[in-house]
Amino acid sequence: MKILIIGETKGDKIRESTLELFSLKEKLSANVDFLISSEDSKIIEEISKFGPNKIYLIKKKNTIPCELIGNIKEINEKEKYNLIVTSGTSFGKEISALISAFLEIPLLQEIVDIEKMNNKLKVLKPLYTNKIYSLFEVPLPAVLSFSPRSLNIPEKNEKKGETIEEDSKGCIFGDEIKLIERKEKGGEEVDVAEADIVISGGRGLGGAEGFEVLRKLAEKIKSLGKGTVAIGASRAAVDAGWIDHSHQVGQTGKIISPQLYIACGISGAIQHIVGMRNSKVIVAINKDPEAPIFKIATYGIVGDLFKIVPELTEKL
Amino acid sequence: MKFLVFIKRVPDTSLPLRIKGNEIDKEGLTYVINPYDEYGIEEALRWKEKIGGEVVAITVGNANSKDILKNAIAMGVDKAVLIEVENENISPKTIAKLLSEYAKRESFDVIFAGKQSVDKVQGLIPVLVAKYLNIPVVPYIVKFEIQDGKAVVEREVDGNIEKIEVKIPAIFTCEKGLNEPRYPTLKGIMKAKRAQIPVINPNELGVEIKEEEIKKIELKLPPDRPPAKIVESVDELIKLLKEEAKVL
Repeated sequence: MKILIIGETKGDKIRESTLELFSLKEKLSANVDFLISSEDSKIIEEISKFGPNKIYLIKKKNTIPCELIGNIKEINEKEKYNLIVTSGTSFGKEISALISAFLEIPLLQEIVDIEKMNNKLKVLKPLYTNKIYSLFEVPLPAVLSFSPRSLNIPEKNEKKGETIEEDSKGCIFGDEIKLIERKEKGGEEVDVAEADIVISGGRGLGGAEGFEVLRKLAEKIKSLGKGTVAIGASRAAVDAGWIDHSHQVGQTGKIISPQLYIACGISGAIQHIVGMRNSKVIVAINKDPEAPIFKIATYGIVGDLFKIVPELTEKL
Repeated sequence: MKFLVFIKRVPDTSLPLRIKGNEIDKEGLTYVINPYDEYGIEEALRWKEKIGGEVVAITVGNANSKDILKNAIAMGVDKAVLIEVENENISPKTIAKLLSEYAKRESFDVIFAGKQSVDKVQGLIPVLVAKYLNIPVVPYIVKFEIQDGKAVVEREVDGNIEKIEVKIPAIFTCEKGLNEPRYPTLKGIMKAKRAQIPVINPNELGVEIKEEEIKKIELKLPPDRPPAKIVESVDELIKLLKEEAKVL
């Protein structure tokens, strides 16, 4: 099995969801090559510890996915990969769809599990906004995107890969498409889909200022050094304009699976639950003992979140 | 300016879904326009109201899909077209070829589609159509403007805001946040009732129907979670998180 991993950066670092993809090396007993676009060659130092054979560095800043397809197509013609994989991020899903279209190989997005059985690949993918899971048999070659956090970052070793630098071959659609500006949205450092711990708020917060209480808890948990922390929200809180849509967890938001999910003032409508049900540990804080969120929580505490959350922040 | 919107008939996923054999149980399902496609309809209608033109909605599906095309007319689109296929398991390439052939015939300036459908979660069709029509595709837009024969769009991807300029004709896929889709008006609903839906046969478009290559083996429901442990105090909660769950 020969795999090409398409990587992504966040700021001047490799995204964690990219590192997770290296676990496929052992899981599928595969040879792995790696491709990433960055101006900075230092970025690949970290990657070489995960044991790729070849590292393709496309020297470009602020790349959009269509600008890598020409390179990937040419490399694939030489290397003939069985599998090309990306993260299920926006970038990863966009580039996966482009790879499927232009390399003419089948695509499955947002995979949560993969298994090799008798030289066949079986993958698990949630459908219908995470309400139903489907097991697929994937014909090879294929391109797959993996939901962030569905694989674990593997142990590093010291094997060094060979680096090949290339320039971007330009956007596959020509120069009629131009990225004018890319700016970081600011505020949160970690995307809610990628965080180890998510503290989420709903209607019970009563307003945008309610999120300040959650941010204080987030700061405290961050200081414990148990992983990355992000703020999530239910649709009710997003639609009320209290917080931006990028924080939304659920049917029309993100589907996430952190180590710990703390739901504050979220009643637990099915549209929300489908987005966070796969969290390892769920804590529900709600004043309504009948709230459906308690049905899927690991631990529940009934009471006023404006008392409980600050107490938790103080005592942790 | 001519706008084309790709729409898809999907089960309303806010209602319970059950499994029957290797498919979801169709009994008692309610179908809706794929929610992300509604943003496309709304954006096209807003721009038509602003600068004039025509909005056409199109879907590939069986005769039942007429219901969502009528919903699109009720929202205000000028025309809603069905490319009728009986086989429910046709390949994404076939669907994209059908849509591309139709789009070629009518030459549209702007094509909108949802970023993905809630039943397949792939986002592949608009990208394939872009390839077949040889025009650019910009996924996940949350802001759309037309200025001197160009579209200037914004998208929010992975914690960044990107501003992209692209020549039209082009395809755009819509993310939540682009707009707030309108509800049908009474007048719209009356119009939809009377409307005739033009039906196109794949042969007319010269496209051969091919089946999906990826085999679905089994559907399952997500595993149940054990009932919650209700705790009485924050101290107890912290103890459990540290000692039992070992997450903090």
